[in-house]
Amino acid sequence: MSTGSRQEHLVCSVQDVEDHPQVATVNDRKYIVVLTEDDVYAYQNICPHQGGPIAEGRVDTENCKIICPWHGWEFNFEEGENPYDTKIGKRLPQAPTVVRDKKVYILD
Amino acid sequence: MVKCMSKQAEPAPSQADVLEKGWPEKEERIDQEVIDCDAHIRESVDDLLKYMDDTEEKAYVKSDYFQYPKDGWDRSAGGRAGYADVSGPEAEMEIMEQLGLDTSIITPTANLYHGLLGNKDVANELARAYNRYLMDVWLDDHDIFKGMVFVPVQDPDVGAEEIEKYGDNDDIVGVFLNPVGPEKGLGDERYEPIYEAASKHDLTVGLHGAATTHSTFPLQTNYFHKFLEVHAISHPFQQMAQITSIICRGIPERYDLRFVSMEAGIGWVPYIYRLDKEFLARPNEAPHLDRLPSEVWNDKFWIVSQPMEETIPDGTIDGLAQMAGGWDNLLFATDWPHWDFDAPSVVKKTLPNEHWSKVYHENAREAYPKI
Repeated sequence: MSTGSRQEHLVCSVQDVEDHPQVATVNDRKYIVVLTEDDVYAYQNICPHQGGPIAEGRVDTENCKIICPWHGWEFNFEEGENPYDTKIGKRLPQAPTVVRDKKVYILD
Repeated sequence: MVKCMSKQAEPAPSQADVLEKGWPEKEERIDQEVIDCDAHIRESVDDLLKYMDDTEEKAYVKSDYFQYPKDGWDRSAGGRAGYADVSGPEAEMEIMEQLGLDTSIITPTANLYHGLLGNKDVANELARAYNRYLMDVWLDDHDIFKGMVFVPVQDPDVGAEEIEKYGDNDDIVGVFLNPVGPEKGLGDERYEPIYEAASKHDLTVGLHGAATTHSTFPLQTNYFHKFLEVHAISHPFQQMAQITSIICRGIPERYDLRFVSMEAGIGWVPYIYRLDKEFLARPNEAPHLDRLPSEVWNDKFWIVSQPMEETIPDGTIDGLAQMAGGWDNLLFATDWPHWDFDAPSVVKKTLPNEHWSKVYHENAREAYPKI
């Protein structure tokens, strides 16, 4: 399905992302997809600190954090926010998602 | 086309499971020349053994008894941050391509701890072997690499001999000096053969610290609990200690030299002005100085920005740069493959754009004229 100039891309089921955060590659671009109590979030593979490949880092599912493999900076699953009050590296770049019929789509 | 895979959840990742740093799809490219003033390699004992003479020191280094001093601190922060290697020139060139680097000044990793070797004869042999390895493997066939002569702080005369040996080589741009482990501050007269030889060959002296573990001049790091504490203080403190010694003993005033402070960032720089205050009250204790320490600093020292303190409050970076001797004195370095490396884009994110060219390459050519 097309939304404006972007296409919807089916990346996984809600159950998949509930089991584990997912890494999806859409049009050769990588995203990390996570689930919170309220929503599904997809983030681009670019750490806002120094541009590191955040989708290749660790995820801490106990504390709902995504951790960049370049320098260890961490971001909350929800809204991709840095949990600390820093002026740089504040938030992961988010990709729009659609959840329909228990399936997750990324708009790209 | 869509591909999807599960992301392994690891609230307590295994240390044995080393996470690689990886690469983003699109590293932010820098549209101008970039000179990396601190490009580490991971030289192994096996690499160096090939370049050691057949002496009893070589037999010792080859034996199970020998190991390079290591600090043992956890760079991965419990498996959170990745590990990267530079196994040889091909790997370094690939990294330079990824990061958009044009020239790299090659620096060691294991030999950051060379100053802690107690056996002077082994220290000398390893320094000689490292310089042979540096020339043969890295510099002789690769114009994009530049190097620094490694000198053993345990034996400054051997350091001077090494500088004599390689100092006129076109690819040698400086001298690499360990601030960690020397018996006295680097302004002590015992180190003057190194400065004399460096001056004779117009080489820049780079001071590059290390974290260390235990009671080692100039910092007793076992006082601290975690690597966060050790790493935050070790590099800047080593620079403060050795630059205090070098300036107060008048080394830059007596030898025509340039110095570079490496891998300590710029946040500690206001300390230099404390030195001015002390000097004004007791100039008789620094008889070789006819001007303020900060004037010597501004005139003779350059400073590598990595690890950039991009977290400092808005509006303060310009003041820090001025205290570092002005925007002409700031150099860029990646420090790759070490854990706290800087991508070149950090300059654009942190510093005013009118200074980018200076920091990316112009200042490096002033600090290291042979580049």
